[in-house]
Amino acid sequence: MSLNARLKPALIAFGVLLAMSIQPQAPAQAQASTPLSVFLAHVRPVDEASRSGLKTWTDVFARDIDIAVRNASTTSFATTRFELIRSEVSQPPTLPELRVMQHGTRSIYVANSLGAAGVNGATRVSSMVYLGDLKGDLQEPYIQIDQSVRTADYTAQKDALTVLTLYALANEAHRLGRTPASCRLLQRASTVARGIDLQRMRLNAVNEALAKSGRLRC
Amino acid sequence: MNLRALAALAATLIAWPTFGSAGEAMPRKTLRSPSTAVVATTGDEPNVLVAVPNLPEGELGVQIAALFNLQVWRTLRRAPTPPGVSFGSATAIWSHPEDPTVSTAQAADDVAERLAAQMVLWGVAHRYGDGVVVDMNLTIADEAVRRRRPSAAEWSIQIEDRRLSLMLPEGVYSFAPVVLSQRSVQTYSSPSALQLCQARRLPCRGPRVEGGMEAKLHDGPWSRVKLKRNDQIGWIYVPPLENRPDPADFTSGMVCYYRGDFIRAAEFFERVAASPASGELIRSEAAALHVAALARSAGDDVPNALLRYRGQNLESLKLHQAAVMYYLARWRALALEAARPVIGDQPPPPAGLLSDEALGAAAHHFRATAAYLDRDDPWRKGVERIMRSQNFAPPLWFRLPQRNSASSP
Repeated sequence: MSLNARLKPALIAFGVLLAMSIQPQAPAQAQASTPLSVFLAHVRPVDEASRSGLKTWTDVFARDIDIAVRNASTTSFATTRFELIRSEVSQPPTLPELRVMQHGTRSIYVANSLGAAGVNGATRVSSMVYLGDLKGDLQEPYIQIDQSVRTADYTAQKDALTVLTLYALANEAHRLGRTPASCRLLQRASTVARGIDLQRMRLNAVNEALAKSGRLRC
Repeated sequence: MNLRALAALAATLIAWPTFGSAGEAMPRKTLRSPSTAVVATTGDEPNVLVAVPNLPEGELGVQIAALFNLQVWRTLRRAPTPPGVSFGSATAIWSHPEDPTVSTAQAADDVAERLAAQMVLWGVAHRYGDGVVVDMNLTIADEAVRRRRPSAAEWSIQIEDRRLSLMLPEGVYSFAPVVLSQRSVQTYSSPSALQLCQARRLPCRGPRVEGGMEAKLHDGPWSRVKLKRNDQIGWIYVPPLENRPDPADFTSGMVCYYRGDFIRAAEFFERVAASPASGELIRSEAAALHVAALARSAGDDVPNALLRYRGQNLESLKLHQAAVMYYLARWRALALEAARPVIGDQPPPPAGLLSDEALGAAAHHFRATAAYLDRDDPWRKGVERIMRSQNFAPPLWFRLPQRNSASSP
């Protein structure tokens, strides 16, 4: 399938979601009050059973991200609106597509898809996280998390998503000059990260970014 | 599974248990049962209301809600020793099986608002192998609800004419997934758990518990209750779980904290903070609440607890705030003690030095909060004012941002 053919439906969906979610803002307030969006998509599997299962797990991730954002918005960002927008897509967007989609916006894009069966046939969910301008001290704005969801790794997968969400929110707070709020979010992200083996998940870069941001800001 | 029996029990549990067998003889106020499950009590309002709505998984969701509700309900006690101190009343309620379920933070907020419940324990469950995986969350209601139903949740200390307040519980607490055996879930829906027995003996053939009940005594797996519909008194059997789940312990601790039962709250929070299965975030929250509860129970073990949590890397902004509150209150008490007039030949108590140490410890923990609180944060400003009024001006190092790592404020 050509890039254009893949890009078109994704861009249309993204445009519709943006139109639904972002209200016109007064120019003077635009920077502070433009909502920060978390797009949580799941890639439609071919069969109905897998589709239902993946949606269930995405529901779990959505709840966790919602709670992370909710705690941040009530205690850290009184003036910033956050939105969690869910969708189902036929294919995960590619990196260039995500760059185009997120250009000029402040958002986190998470696409969950079913991976190949892991050990003992356990279901694997692959989460592609794109932080864009909210990457902070991460070298790359793109993180791939690939874990079994039928074992103890399930907790690691959802906690890793929470860490990345909190880190993105911390970077947004930092951008807005809300350093104490940024530090609180970094502390929260670091605390969640301590409970998961980021090294085994090949997410060392996340630990390093958390430590570096903490050193520089707090 | 006997869903009808469970639904009957689920109507409402009025939690007014006693503390040990002696509590049974204590005077008691009457709480009226709500006419339906999710309607708050009328008449005498409970001080603390915790809602445990059904989880969205049909029959399984009702069972899980029942299990957690009973676990929390059975931890409540009526009065501390010495007598004469009242914790007020607490009510644990959950939905009728046909009521809407709660599976989002927004829906939990709505329940809290509608019922003026200070907290809502909610979540989702999934069947997994021969067990059930449960994701639970505890929503703490916002300030509007706190104003409607005053409790001991807000911690205030008075130093001369200055009042310093700290609200530690806030937001939504997300617990690590809990795995429950099918046996545990099924046991809680068995008829024996829901029947009123004349004696503590199974099997019993008493009537089903319907229309809510008021606990008079918890003793092991048995609870002595009075049925709301006809004032009939008897025993119900609530089988213990193999392991008490952390969400139940944390919620029980929170209910105790809201009731001012700080000794009991400290026990629950300490248990959660020590449980690796709780997850690091909940452990650090529990550690801060443990310190707060210890300090408010006038316990003298706070410094040891702070040292322990430092060693376990469970320090957080909230823990340091709790430590500041403790040491300021301690400093104040010691200063008052030192200022007492000397009677006869008694030497004056050596409280002056200890007082300075307490103030120094408060300043140390206050410093650790510097990077995490806005300059106009009311609590931060309050501490600064108190220290300034005692010629303990915030030193230069507090005004400058600290270069700490994010994980260790």
